[in-house]
Amino acid sequence: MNSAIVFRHLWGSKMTDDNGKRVDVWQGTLALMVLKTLEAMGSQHGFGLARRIEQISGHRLSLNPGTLYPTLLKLEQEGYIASEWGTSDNNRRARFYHLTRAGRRQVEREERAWQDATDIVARFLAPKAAR
Amino acid sequence: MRRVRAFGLRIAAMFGAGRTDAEIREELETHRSLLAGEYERSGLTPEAARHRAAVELGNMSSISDTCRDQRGIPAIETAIRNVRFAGRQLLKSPAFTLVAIVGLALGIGANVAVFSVVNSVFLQPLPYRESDRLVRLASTNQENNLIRVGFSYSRFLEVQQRQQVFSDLALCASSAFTLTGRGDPEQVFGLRASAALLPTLGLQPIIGRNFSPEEDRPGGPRVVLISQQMWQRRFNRDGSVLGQALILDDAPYAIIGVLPEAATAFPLNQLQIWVPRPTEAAYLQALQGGGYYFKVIARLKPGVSLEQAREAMKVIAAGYRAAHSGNLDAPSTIELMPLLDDTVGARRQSYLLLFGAVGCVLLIACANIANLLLARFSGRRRDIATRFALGASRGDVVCQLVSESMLLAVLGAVVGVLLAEWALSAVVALGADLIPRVAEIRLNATALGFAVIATLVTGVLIGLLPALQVSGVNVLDALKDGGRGAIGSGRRLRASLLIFEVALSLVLLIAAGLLLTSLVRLQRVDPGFAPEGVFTAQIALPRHYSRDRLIGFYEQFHRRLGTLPGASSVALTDGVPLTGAQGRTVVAVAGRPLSPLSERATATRHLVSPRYFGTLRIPLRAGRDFDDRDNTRVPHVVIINETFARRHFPGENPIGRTLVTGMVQLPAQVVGVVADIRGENLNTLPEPEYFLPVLQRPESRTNVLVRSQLPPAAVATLVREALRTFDPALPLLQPDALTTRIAQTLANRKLALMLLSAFAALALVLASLGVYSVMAHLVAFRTNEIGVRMALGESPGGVMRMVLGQARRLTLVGIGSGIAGAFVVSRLMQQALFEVDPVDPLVYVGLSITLLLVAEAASFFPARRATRIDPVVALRTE
Repeated sequence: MNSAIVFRHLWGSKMTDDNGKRVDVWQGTLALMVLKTLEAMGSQHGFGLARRIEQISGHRLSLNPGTLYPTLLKLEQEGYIASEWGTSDNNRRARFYHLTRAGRRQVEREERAWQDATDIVARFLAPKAAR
Repeated sequence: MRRVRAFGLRIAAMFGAGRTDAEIREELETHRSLLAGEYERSGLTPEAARHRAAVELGNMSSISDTCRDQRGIPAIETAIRNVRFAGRQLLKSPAFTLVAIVGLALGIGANVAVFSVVNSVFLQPLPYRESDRLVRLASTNQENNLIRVGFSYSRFLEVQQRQQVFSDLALCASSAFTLTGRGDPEQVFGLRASAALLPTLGLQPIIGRNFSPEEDRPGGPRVVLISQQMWQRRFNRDGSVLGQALILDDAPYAIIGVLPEAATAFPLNQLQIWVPRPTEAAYLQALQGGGYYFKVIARLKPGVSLEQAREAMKVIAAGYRAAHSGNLDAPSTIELMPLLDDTVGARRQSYLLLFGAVGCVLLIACANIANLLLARFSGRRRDIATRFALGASRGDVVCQLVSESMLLAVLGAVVGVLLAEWALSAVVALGADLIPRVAEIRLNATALGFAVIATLVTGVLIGLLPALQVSGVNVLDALKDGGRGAIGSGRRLRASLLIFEVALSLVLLIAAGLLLTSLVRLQRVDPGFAPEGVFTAQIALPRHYSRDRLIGFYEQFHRRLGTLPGASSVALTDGVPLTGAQGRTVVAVAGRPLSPLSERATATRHLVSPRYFGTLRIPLRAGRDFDDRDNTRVPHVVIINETFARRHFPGENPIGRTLVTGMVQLPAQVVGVVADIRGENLNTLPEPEYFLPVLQRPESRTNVLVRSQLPPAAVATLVREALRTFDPALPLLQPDALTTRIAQTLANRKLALMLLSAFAALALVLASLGVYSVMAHLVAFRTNEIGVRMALGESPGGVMRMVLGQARRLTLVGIGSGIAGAFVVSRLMQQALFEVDPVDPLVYVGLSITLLLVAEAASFFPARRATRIDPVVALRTE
C-alpha cells in the first residue's frame, strides 16, 4: 500500500472550516476519518459520527450529510464497515455502523499511507517555510 | 478486489439488492430528528428546532439521490428507468406496439434469414482444412463455348508430372450406382475418387481408413467409403459395418470406412458413397482422347499464390498442346478457381440481389415505424417541454425517446430471430436440390451478431430522427399552444420518409416485375417439342450387362413398352430434353479433310430408339425416322437436326452423306433431318445435334418416354411391371410427367423470384401503410384549416381533392426517385433477365401506376375523414 492510493481520488465535495472558508479536501481523508472514528467509538449511527468528527476537528469541520452518507455506503460496499438497524437515543430506528475485520486492516493501511503522504508533502513545504 | 466487490454490489443494487430508497430516506429522517433534538436541547422551541434542522439538512431528496448514485451505477440506472418508462408507454398503446413489433419482426427476421443463407453459403469457408488454399482445375475453350468444363485424364497426368505449385492433387468423377441386396434396388450417387482426395481436402474417415495405394492402382480391390447418413440409416451407426459388403452394380464392394459429412457434401450434392479409381468411370477412348471427363482438385503449396499457380498452368497447358495436339482438349486453357467460388460463385449474384431486396424491406419498415413514432412523440410535446423546463437536457430527452424505439427494435428482433429460425428450416427443406451447401445453412453466431447489429441500427434509425425532431422544440411555444399545433412540425421529415418508402418499394416492385416478365417470356418460349402428356423415368442398366444383353434389353423393353395399355407412343433415349446437361462431342463429315480431334466441330449427341421424334412430336423435315431394323446387323445410320444441316451441309442435301461421330470416330450415314428443339435450356438457341439409334450404340443409361392418356402414377406402375419382367433388380428412377421435370429445372429461377416477389409485396403493403399514416396525420394537423375552408364554402369534394392531391404529389416524387433507382438496379441484374430490356417501359409504367393507385386508395380514408370534419367543432377547438 502506498500513498498514491490516498492521492488518487480528488473529492468533488467541500468541507467548511469554522471561518466559513471552503477548501478542497482529499477524498481519502473523510473515509479515513470515518474509519478512525468508528475504530475509537465502536458502533455508531451517521448523526453521531458526524458530530464526533466535528468535535475531534475542533469544530473546524462541518460535515454535510450529502457527503457523509454516500461515503458510508461506499465503505460498506467495499466491505470495510457493516451496519444494522438499532435504536437511537430519541427512540428512533437508526442505522448503526461498525468496523469489519477488513476495515481494521484498512485503517492501518490508510493511516500509514496518510503519514507517508503528509511526510512527502511536508518535505516540500518545509524549505519554503524556512525561506 | 475491493473495487470488484463494490462494483458487484452496485450492479446487485440495481436489481433491488442492498439498501432501498426507503431505508436511505429513513436514515436521513433519523439524522434530521436527532439534529432537531439537539437544537431543542439548546433552547429552541420544538418548531424552530425542527425548522432549523430541516434547513441545515437541505434538500433531502438531493442527498438521497447522491446516495442512490453511490449505491448503483447512474448511467445504467438511467437506462433501466428509460426502458421501464418506454415499456409503460408501449403498453399504453398495444395496437401501435403490436403493429410496430410485427413490422420489425418481419423486417429483421427476413434479413437475418437471408443473411444466414448468404453467410453460410457464400461467406463461410468450405468445411475443409485451410479451404482457401483449395482450387479446382478446369478446361476452358472460349471459341467452342466450353467454359470451366472438366479435365481430361491425359492432361491430369501431364499436370501431375510437371507441376510444382500444388502440395496435393486429386482426381475424381461423379458416378451413379445401382445398390441391390438391401431391400428395393436403389440408385445411389457416388464419387470415384483417387486416394489423394481425402488428404487434399484435409479430411479423415470417421471410422475406418482411406483408400490404400493398392486400391488406388488400376485393377485394385473393390472397396467403398460410405456416407455418415448411409451409416446411420442402413447400419444404425454400428462399428461392425467395416468389412461388410455393399452390392453396387451387381459387384460386391467391401466397406472400409465412413466419410465425414464434409466429404459427402462434395462438391454440391449429397453423395452417398466414394469408390476408388476414377479412371474406371470412363471408357478407354475418353481416357486417351482428351475428353473433359474428370474433376481435379488441388491444394496450393504454402507460399504459392493463386496467380503464380495460374502462370505455372499456362506453361503446362502450352506443353500439353504441343505434345497432344490431336487431343480434344489441346486448344483449351487450364483455369484455376478457388474451390468456394467454383462451388457457389454462379449463384452469388442472385443471392446478393435478394439480400439487397430484403434490406430494402427493412428500410421501408423502418421508415414506416419512424413515421409512427414521430406521430407518437409529437403527441408528447407538452411532456417533453415540461421536462425541459425542469432541467432535462436535450440528450436526456432524446435518450428517453430512443429507448422506446430501441425497446421496439429489440422486441421485434426477438420475434424476428424466431421467425428466421423457422424460415431457415423451410429454406433447407425446400431448397435441398437448389441451393449449394444447403446442409450447412444455419443460424450461427455470426448471424446472431448480424441480428444484434441490425437491431441496434434499426432501433436508432427509427427513433433518432423523430426524437431529434420533437426535442428541437421551443419550450415556451410548446407549453403555450397546448401541444396541438406542434403536430404539424416534422412535416418535412414525414414527407421525406414517405417519399423514401415509396421510392424503395417501387425499386423492389420493378426488380420483381422484370424477373417475373423474364420467367413468363421464358415459359412462353416454344421448345419445339410437345412435353404435355408424356411420362418419363430413368433406368440405369448395370455395368456388367454384356453388349448383347444391352441390345436385348433395348429391343425387348421397347417392344414391351409399346404394348402398355393407354400408351400411344413410346421411346427410349439417353437424355430427356430440358431436364439436364446434354452430352457434347466431336463430329466430322466423311469425304472432307479429317482434322484432328482438337480442331473438330462439336455437336450434341443423342442415343434414341425408334419413334423418339414421334413421341415428343418433333417434326421430321427430310428422310426417315429410325425403325427396328436399324440394329447392329446393318450399317450405322444417323439423323441430324436442322441447325446441324445448315452448318455442315449449306445448300447441300445431307441425306446419304456419312458422318464420323464422336471420340470413337464411327461412321454413320445420314438418313433424316428433324426440326430444331431447345434441348439444353429454354433460353439458349438450338445447337447442332445428331441422333444415333440406341440399338446400334447401346449404353447403360437410358430414359423411358411414354405418351399416354393415363396419369403419371398409373404409367409408372405399368412401366415398373414391364421392367420387372426383364430384370427384377432394375430400379425405375424419377418417374414423373415430363412437364413436371421441366418445371423443376426452372425451380431455381422460381425460388428466387418467389422470394423477391414476396419481399416486393411486403414493401408495397408497408408503403401503403406509410401513405395512410402520413395522410392521416396531415389531415389531423390541418383540421382547423379544413374547418375554416368548409365554413367558407368549400365543398366536401374540394376538401377530398385537396387531401388526395397532396398525397399524390408526395407519391409522384417518390415514384420519380424510385424509377431513377430502378434504372441503376435493373442494369446490375441484367444477367438474370431473359428477353427483357432492363428499362422495359411496360414494367416501369405498369408498376408505377399500380403503386400510384395503391397510394391513392391508402390516402382515400384520411381524405374521407377530412370531408367529415364539422367546421363548428373544428373552429371551437381553436
